[in-house]
Amino acid sequence: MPETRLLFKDIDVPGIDRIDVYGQHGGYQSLRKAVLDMTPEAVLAEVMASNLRGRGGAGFPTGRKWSFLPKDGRTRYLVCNADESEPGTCKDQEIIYRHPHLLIEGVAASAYAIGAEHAFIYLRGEFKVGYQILERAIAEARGKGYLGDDVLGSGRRIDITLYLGAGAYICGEETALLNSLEGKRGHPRLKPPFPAMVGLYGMPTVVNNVETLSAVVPILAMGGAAYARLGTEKSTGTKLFSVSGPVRNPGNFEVELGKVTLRELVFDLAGGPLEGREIKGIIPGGSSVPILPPEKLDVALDYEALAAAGTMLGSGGVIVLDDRSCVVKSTLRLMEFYRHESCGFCTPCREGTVWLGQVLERIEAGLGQANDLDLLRSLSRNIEGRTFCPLGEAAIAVLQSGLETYRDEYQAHIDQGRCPLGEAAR
Amino acid sequence: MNGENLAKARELLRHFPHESSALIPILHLVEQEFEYIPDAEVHVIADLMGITAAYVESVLTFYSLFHRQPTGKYLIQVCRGLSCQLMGADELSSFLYEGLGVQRNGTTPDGMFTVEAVECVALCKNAPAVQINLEFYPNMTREKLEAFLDKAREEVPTDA
Amino acid sequence: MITLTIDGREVQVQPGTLIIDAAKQVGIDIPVFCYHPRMDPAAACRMCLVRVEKMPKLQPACATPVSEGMVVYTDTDEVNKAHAGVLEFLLANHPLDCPICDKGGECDLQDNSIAYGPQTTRFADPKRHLDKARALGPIVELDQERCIQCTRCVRFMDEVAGDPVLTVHERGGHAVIDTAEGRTFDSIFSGNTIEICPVGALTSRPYRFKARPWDLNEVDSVCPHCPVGCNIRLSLRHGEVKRILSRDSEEIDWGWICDRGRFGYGFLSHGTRLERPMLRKDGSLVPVSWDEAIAVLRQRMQGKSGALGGGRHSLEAAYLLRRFLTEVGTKNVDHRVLPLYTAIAPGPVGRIDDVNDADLVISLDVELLEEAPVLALRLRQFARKRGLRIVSVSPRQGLLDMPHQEAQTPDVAATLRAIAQGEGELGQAFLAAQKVLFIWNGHTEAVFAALAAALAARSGESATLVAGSLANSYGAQVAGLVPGEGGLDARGMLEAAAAGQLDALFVVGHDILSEFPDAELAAQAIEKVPFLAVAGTVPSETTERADLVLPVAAWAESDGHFVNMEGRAQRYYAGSDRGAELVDDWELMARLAGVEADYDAILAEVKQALSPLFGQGRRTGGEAPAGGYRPAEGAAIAAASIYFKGVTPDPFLHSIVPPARIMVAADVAQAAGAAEDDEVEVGGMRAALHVEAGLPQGAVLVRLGQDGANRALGRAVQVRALAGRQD
Repeated sequence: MPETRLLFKDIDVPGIDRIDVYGQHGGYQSLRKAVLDMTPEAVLAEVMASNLRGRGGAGFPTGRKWSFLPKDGRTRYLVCNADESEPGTCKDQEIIYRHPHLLIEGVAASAYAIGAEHAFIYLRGEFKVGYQILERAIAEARGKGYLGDDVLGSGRRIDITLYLGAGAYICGEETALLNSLEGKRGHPRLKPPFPAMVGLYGMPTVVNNVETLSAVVPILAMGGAAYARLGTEKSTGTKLFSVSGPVRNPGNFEVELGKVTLRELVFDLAGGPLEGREIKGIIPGGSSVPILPPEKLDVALDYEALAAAGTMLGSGGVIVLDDRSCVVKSTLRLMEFYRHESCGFCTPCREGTVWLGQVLERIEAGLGQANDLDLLRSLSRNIEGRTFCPLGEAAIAVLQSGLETYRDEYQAHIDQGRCPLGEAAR
Repeated sequence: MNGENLAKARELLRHFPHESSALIPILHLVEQEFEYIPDAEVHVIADLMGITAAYVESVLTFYSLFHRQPTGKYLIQVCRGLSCQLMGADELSSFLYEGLGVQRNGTTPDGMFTVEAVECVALCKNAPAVQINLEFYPNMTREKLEAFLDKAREEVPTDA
Repeated sequence: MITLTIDGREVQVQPGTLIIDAAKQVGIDIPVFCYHPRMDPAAACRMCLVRVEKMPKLQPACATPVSEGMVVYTDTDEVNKAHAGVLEFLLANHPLDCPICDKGGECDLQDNSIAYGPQTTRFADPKRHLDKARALGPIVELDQERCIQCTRCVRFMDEVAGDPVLTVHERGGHAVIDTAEGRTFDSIFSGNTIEICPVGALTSRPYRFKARPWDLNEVDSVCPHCPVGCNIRLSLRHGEVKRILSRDSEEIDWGWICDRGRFGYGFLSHGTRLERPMLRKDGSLVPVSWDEAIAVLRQRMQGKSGALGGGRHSLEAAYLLRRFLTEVGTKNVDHRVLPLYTAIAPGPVGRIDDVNDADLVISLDVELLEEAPVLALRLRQFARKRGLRIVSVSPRQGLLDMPHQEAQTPDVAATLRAIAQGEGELGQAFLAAQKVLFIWNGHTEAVFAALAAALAARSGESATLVAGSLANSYGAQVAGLVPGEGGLDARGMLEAAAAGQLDALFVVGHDILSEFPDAELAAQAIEKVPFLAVAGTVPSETTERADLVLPVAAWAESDGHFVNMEGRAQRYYAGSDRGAELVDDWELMARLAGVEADYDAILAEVKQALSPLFGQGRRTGGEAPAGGYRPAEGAAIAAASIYFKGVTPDPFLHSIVPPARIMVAADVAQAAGAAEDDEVEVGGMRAALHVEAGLPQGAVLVRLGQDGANRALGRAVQVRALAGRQD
C-alpha cells in the first residue's frame, strides 16, 4: 500500500529547506499563480472546491471557515497553528523542520485568499529550532519577493511574524492560542464571538493548522477539483498520519483519505508490531480520541469511517499499544498529561482530571477498590459535555473507551492488586 | 536583563501590532539569559511594559517552559508523552535521576544538569525522545545519554 | 423584545439578555459561582449549566444570550445531575472548615450544596493542601484551599478596577490566586474582592472572626466619606458596626465601594469620641448639661458671629443650622472649610449615569481615584467597553488612572475658554459632541465662570459633576450654608476673628486647625475669637481649644440624608448604638433653632423646602456663590486624598494610609537640593519628598488631611531640605 504524497512529495529531497532547491522543485509556483493570476475570491473558490478539511483535529471545512470573515473593512489576520502538542502527533513538526518553505508558501497564499496582510505562525515553545529554521526561510522568501510589502510585484503586502509559545498544550485550541499570542494566559475564550468576527487583537481572524495551510499549495497547483477527486466524497485529499509506539517503522505517512485502512497504515507502512508482539489497541487520532481494539483495525482512514467506528480521525496521531503495554498505565499517563495541561479555568476539567488521575494512580499502584471503575465512569460523565472547551472531553476519551474495551484488564489490576502484565509492562 | 537583552526587549515592544504580544518573547529572553525568571526581572518587565508584576507572574506561571527556580547549564527534558513512555521513557528518566543523583525537576549541585520529565514534545515517531536545551535528541537510549553526559562534563570542568 | 420559554414559562426580555437574567425575571434561580451581574460572564465554574433545546450540550446560562423561541430547562434530571457534578468536584478538595470560616452562613458553596449538591462525597483520596492563611496585605486574607477558582476577584481587579494586582498563578489543579511575589494587595478597591468572593477564600482582616453572619443585623446607609454617595449596608452586632458592605445602586455605585468607605468606621467605637457637652469654665472644659450648652451657644451667637461647616453632616442639620443662623441674624456662614468654591455646577448638574451615554468626558483638575473613586470605576467601564473618550484638563499629568487623554495646561479656566471657542481638535469635539460630561473639583471661581461660558457655547446636552467636595457639601450649599448678601465666607470669618472683629465662631464637623487651607490664619482666629463652639463626633486640636464642645452622633448612629454630587438626597438610617449623651446632628440644630426635635416633621419640612433634592429628575445648576476658596499665590497645590487621615482618628484606616509625601516638580527638588525620599519642610509641613513627573515647573503639592498639609496652603512657600533623614 503506497503513500500518496502531495505535501511530502519533495520532503526527502536534500536541501529542500533552502529556497533555491525548493524553487527547483516547483516551489512558490502556487503562490505566484495565486497572487499574479487569481483573485482572492478565486483562490477561496479553489479551496472550497477542494473540500479541504482542517487537519488540526476538528476537521472543519477550511474554505467555509475562511468565508465566515465579515466584509467590514477591518484588518484581518491569518494565524497558523503550529502548536502541535497532541500526544502521538509529529507531522507538523516534520513540515516545519524539513519543509519550511511549503508552509510559508501555504501561509502566504492563504493570507492572500482571505485578504490578510499579516500572518502569524504560532509555534509551540519546544520548537525553538523550528523557529530558527522558519526564521531563515522567511528571510529567504522575503529576499525573493514572496513575502513583503509588494509580493511578486502584485502590489499586495503579505508578511509573516513568528511567535514562539512557551509550553502549554491548551494553546492548540484556537482561542487559547490567540490569547497566548496576545501575551496572555492561554485560556480559551468564550464563543461566540468566533475568531472570524473577534479574533487576534479583536480583529477578524482565521486560525488554521500547519498541515491545512500547507495543503493549499498542492490544491492551487492541481486545482481544487482534482484535489477533491482524491479521497472520498466527504474526506478529500491526503492526510499525514504519525504512527508511533511499538511498531517496526514508526514515522509520518501521507495517504489518500478513505483509501487506506488503519491496519494497512500500521502493518504495511509502519511495519507492524515489533518482533513477537501483538497489537492490543490503537488510538488513531491523537490521544484525545477513543481507542480501537484490534478487531476494528480494518476501518478506513477517513473522517466518516472512523466516526462510524466510534472514534475520530483527529490529528492523525496513531498510537499503537502492544501486548506489553498496560492499558491502565497508558490511560494514567494520558490523564497525567491532561491534568498537567488543563488550564484550570473551568471546574470539571480542573478538578475532574485531578480526581481521575488520583483514582487511576491508585488502580495502577494496585490499590484500586471495588467501586473504582464505576467511579471512573461516573466522574468522566461529570466532565463529558460540561467543560468550557474540548480539553475536558479529550481527557476522558481513552479512559471511557478503554473502560469498555479493556474492562478485564482494569478489573485484574484491582483484583490482583498489581498490573497483570507484571514488571515488563510499559 | 543585560543591556543587549533590554534593547531587544524594547525592540520587541514595537515588533507586534500590539505591545502586549511582546510579553512572552521577552520572558523567553529573560529565561535564556538567567536560565530562569528571577523575581527582580518580573518587576523589570512589568515596568518596561507598564503592566503589573502580578500580571507578568500570572502569564509566566501558566507556561511550563518558564522556570521560577534556576536551572542547570543543560536542561534535559525527557519526553514522557505516551508514545515515548511506550518506548521506554521511564527507563531514561530513572537512569538520569539515579546517575545524576537528582529528583524530577532537580538540578545537580554543580549547576550542570536539570532533569525534567515533560509532556509530549512532538517527536513521537522518534520515541523515546529527549530535548536538551530545546534541541531534539531523537531515538534516545541510555548509552546515548551516557555519552552526552560524559561529553558535557568534559567540556565544562565541574570545578570551574 | 424576545420571547422565550424557561421551564414552561414564557418570558419576554430585551435582546442580548442572558438566560440567567431572563430566568430571574420569572423568579427562576439558576445557581452560580463565577457569574457576577456587574462583570463580564466567564462561564468558568459551570454551575449554571442548563438545557437549551436544539443545542447539543448543556449551556452556561450566565453566558448564553436569549434568542427568539428559545426553550430552556433548568430543572431536569440531566441539569440537576450537572449541578451536583460540579458541586462534587468543587467540594472534593474543599477543606470544609465551615465552622471557623467567616463566610459560613452566607456562603454560596454552602447554599448551592444544600440546594443542588450531592448528599455524600465519593472522594476518598488525599485533599490538595495549599496556603491556608496568607495575608495579602493589611485588608485581605487569602485561604487558597477554600478558593474555587471562580476568578471573580481577579476579574474585578482586571475588568473593573483596571489594576490586575491579584491574578491567577500556575494552571490546572495548581492554579491559585495571588499577588506578585513580595507585593501586597495594594488597591483602594481591594475590599470588593472580599464581598464578591462566593466562598471564604478572601476574608476581611479587620472583620475576621468578629461575628457570625446570622448574628448580624443590617441597616441601610450611605457612605459618609465622599460626594459620590455610594449606597452601603452596616452590619451590626450588639449595636456595633462590624463591617460595611455595598448595596448595589444602578444609578450610583453598581455595587462597588472603595476601601475608605468599607473600612472607614473604626472611629465609631475606638474610644476617643466626644462624649458629652463641655463648656470652658475657669480655663478648662467641664461637662455641662445639653440645656446649658444650647443656651450658652444661642446667647453667644447673638453677637457678631459666624458658622463654618456642614458638609459632613446631614442635610437636615444643614437646613436647621441655616434657620438658627437666620434667627440669630448672622449672614456669616460657609460650608466650604476645605478648598472648595462650589459644590454645585453652573449648568445642569451631572448624574453619575450620564457616564453611560456621554460621548465626551472632560475632567477638570480632578484626581478621581482620590476624590470620587467609585465614579472612576464607572468611567473605566465605559472607556473599556465602548471607548468613551475621557480628557483630563489639568495643570498636572497622570491624574486619571484609566485610558484618557491629557490636555495639560497651567490655566484650566483659560483652556476651558479656548475649548468653548472650538479651538483645536478638542474644542471641535466639544462643540460637536452629543453629550458632554464635566467632572470638576469645584475649587475656583475662575473655572466656574469659564465652565458656565463653555456650557453656554454648546447646543447639545451637557452636565457637570463636582467631585471635590464632601458627602453633604451639595446639601449644605442648597440649604444655604454659604454667605448671604454682605456675609463673610470661611476665610472672611477667620480673618475677622483674627482681627478681633468677631464675637463667636461656631464650627460644625471640622478641625479647622488642621483642615482650613491656611493653618496660620485658623490658629490666629482661634486665638483671638472670644468664643469658639465646635460640634462634631471626634476630638481634635480645634475641640481642645474650643469654649464649647457639642458632641453629636455619627452618621451610623443617626437618621438623615446626605446629598451627593448629583444633588440626590439619600437616606441613611441609625444602626449603631451611640453614647448616652450624644444627640443627632439635626436634633442639636433643631434645639438651637428652637424647633421641636421631631425627625418626621423636620424631614417633611426639608422635603418641601428643598424638593428638587428628593426628586428623580436632573437638578439645575447653581448660582455663583459669594466667597469661597482662593488658592494663595505661591502656595502648594491642595490635592485630595482618599484617606483623609486627619479627620477620623481611626487606627485601622491609619494603618493602611500611605505615608505623607510632599510632591514636587523636579526643578523644585533641585533648587532645594533635596532628592527622592529626603525629609523636607514646606511651610511648616514636614514629610518625605517625592519628585512627581506630572507636576508643572515650580509646583509643590500636598494632600489634604496629611499632617500639617494645610500649613503649606495659606501663603507662598519654599521647600527646604532638612539636615539628614528623620526615620
